[in-house]
Amino acid sequence: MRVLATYNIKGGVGKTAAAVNLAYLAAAAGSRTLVCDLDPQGAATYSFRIKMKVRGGGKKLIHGKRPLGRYVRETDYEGLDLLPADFSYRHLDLLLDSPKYVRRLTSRIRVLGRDYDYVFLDCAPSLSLVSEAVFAVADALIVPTIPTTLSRRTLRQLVRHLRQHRVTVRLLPFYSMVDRRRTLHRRICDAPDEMPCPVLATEIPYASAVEQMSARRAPLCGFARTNPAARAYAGLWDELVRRLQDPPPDPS
Amino acid sequence: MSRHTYLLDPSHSAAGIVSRLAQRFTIRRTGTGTAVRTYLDTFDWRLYRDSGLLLSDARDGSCLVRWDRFDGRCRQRASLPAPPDFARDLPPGGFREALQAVCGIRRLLPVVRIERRSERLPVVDHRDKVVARLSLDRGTATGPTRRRRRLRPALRLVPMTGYERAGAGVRRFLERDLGLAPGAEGELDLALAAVGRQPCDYAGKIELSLDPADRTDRTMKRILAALWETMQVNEDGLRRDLDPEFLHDFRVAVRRTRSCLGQVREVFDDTVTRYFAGEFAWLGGLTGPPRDLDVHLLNLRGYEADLPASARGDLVPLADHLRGRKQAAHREQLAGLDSVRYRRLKREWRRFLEADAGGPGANASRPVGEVAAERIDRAYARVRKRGRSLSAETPAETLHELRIACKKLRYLIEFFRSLFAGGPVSAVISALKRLQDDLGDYNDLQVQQRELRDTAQELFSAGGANAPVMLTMGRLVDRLESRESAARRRVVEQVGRFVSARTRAELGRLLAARAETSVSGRGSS
Repeated sequence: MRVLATYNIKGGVGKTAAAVNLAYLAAAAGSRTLVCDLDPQGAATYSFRIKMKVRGGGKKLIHGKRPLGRYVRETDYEGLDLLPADFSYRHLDLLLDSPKYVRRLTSRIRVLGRDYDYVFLDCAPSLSLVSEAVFAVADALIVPTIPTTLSRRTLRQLVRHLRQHRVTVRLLPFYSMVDRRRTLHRRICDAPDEMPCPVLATEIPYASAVEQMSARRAPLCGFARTNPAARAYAGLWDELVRRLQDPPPDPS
Repeated sequence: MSRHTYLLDPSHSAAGIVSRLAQRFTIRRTGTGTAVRTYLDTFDWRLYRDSGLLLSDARDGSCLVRWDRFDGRCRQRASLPAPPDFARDLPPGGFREALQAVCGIRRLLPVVRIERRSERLPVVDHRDKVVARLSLDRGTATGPTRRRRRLRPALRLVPMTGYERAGAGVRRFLERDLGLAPGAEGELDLALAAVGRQPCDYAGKIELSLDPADRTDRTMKRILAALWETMQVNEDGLRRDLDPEFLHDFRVAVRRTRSCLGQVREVFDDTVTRYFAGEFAWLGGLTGPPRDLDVHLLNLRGYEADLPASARGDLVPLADHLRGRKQAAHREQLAGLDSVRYRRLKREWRRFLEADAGGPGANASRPVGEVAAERIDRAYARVRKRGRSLSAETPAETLHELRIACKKLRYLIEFFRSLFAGGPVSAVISALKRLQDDLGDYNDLQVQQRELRDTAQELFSAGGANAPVMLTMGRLVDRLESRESAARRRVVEQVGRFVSARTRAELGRLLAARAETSVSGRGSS
C-alpha cells in the first residue's frame, strides 16, 4: 500500500485534478485504488458524482468506532473507491487538538489502506494539524506547483517547514497549469536550480479541458484521454511510479 | 461485493427484460463491449481449492490479472503485458508472494477462455452516478481441447460498495417482478460445464471408495487403473516440461504401480506380474535422471539463500550446467516415451486392466479388507524391525532401507485408505508422514552433497569453473553436511515415536476392526 497526498499550502493549484486523474490512472492500470477526500469543499467527491456526506462527519472520521471502510463508496470506475468529503471537515483541526488524535487519524487511514495498492489523500490548502496527520501517513507528497513567484515561495515555505519539523516524507512537486506562452512560466520551469527542491520532469499544461472535469463530473483521463493535459497526467503517473521505486528519504 | 447471475432461457425475451428494467430504473445505456477473459489455474486446481479464481482480462496489448474470491471480491490485481505463466512472473510484491504461496512451482494453465459480448446496463441514481452494475452477457467458452461452446445468455448484477440498498432493489425487481432465478454457479463453473469439464477434475491423489468385502483382484485393478489414469493425464505436461510436478506425479504413479504389484502378491498371474513390474521399473528408470535434475535445480534457490549476496553469482555456472544436463535428460526421456517399448507397455497394460479380474493367485478372490490388513500389518512389522535398532551410529544404507520400507507402508495405507474409516488412520498417516519427511530430508541432504561433488568434478573437468565457483560449491557442501547430522537426530526421535507400542496398538485395533468387517461382509454376501 502506498499513500500519496496531493498537497499544497496554496489553493487553486490543481490538487484535486491531480488526485482524481492519477487515481483514475492507477485504477485503470489494475491497482486497487482509494481516494480520501479530506477537503471540506469536496471537489473530488463531486467529480465522482458522489454525495458529500459522511455520517457523523469529522468526529466519526477520527473518533468513530466503525472502521472507515463503512463510509467508502465505489466510483463508476472499476477498482477505484472514494471516502467522501463532509462539510464538517472544516472543523477537523479543532478535533485534532491532541497529538493522540492525530495518531488516531493516521492509524485509521492506514488500516483502511490495507485493502488498496494506492491511497490518494486529496488535502485542503493549509498547513494545519490535518496536514501533520497527512505528513505522518503519506509515503509521498505530490505538490502541484504553478510556475509563479508566489507558488515557488509557498513551496519553499513547505520545504522549510518539513526540515524544521524533521518530517521525512518524500516530496514530489510538479509544475501544474503551465502556460509556456507566459514568460514567467517559461523562466521558472527552465530554472530548476532556483527551486527549493527537485521538481518532477512532467508538466501539466494549462487546459480548459481540466476545468471541464467539474462540468462533466468525471476524470479528464476518462472522457478525453487524448487531450494534451490527460496525456501529461499519464506521463506524470508513469514518472511517479518510477520515482516511488527509489529508496525513501534518509530520516537523518 | 458478491455478484448475481441470472441465466436466461429461450422463454425469456432479453429485449423485454431490458425494457422492463428501463421502466423501473434509470439505465445509462453505454453500448456494447466485447471482452476476452481467461481463467487460469494450476493443473491440480490449487487456486480453486484455495477458494480463489485467477482471471486475465485481455486489453489492448496488455491484460488485467485479477485474483478473486468465489463471491467476486477482488483479492489482488495487476496490469501485465501478458498472462503470467508462473506466479514468479508477477512483479515483486504482495500479489506475487501470496500467489506463490498457493501455486508454488506449478505453471498457471488456461482452464477456460470466455469471449463475451456485454450490453452494459448500469443503473444510475439522480446524480447519474452508477449504483449497480448490470449487464446482459452473451458469449462462448473454449476449453483446452479448443472446442468452442455457446454460453447461455445471462443477466449479471454486481452490487456496489456504498450502494447496497440500490443493488438489493435491482435484485428484488429481477427476482420478484421478473421472476428470474439467481444461479448458484459462478461464471467459471458455467463455462467449464459448457466445455464438458468440472473443477478439481485432477487431484494427484487416488481417491477411491473401496468395499472391504470386494474381491482383491477386482479392487487391485481399480487401484492400478486409477494410477494409470494419473500417468496418462500427466504425460502431455511431462513431455512439454510445463512444470516439474507433471514428471513428479507421473513418477509417483509409476512407483505406486510397482509397489502395488510387488506388495500385494498372489493375486494375478506371477509371470504377468513380473513382466509388468519389470516394464514399470524401466519406465521409472527412464524418468529418474530428469527428476533428479529438477530437484537439483529447485534446490538452487535454497542454496542462494544460504550464501551471502556477494557469492550468489558464483552459482550461475552451476545453474547453467544443470539446465544443460536437464535438457539432455529430457530429450532422452522423450525418446523413451516415443519408443516401441513404451507404446507396447501402454497397449498391453490397458488390455490387462480392461480384462475381467479373475486372477489365479490365492489372494485373488479373498475380500480385500482382509488382504489389505495383512499386507499393512506386514509392512509395518518391517518398518518396526528396522526402526527399533536405529541409533546415532546406524549406517546411511540402513536409513535408506527404512525410508523405502516407510514409503511402501505409506502407499499401502493410501491405496486402502477408504477401507479404514475415521480418525485412527489419519493419526497413523500423520505420524508416518512426519517420519517420512525427516527421512526424506536426511536422504535429500545426502543426495545433494553427492550431486554437488559430482557436478563440481564435471565442471572442473570441462573447464567451466574457476576458483570462486569451486569455493562456493565447497561452502555449500559444508553447510549441507552440518544439516545432515541434525536431520539424522530428528529421524531417530521420530522413528522412536512411530514404532512405539502406542502406534502399534492403534494400527492393530484399526486392522482388526477392518478384518472383522470384511469377514462379516463376506458371510452376508
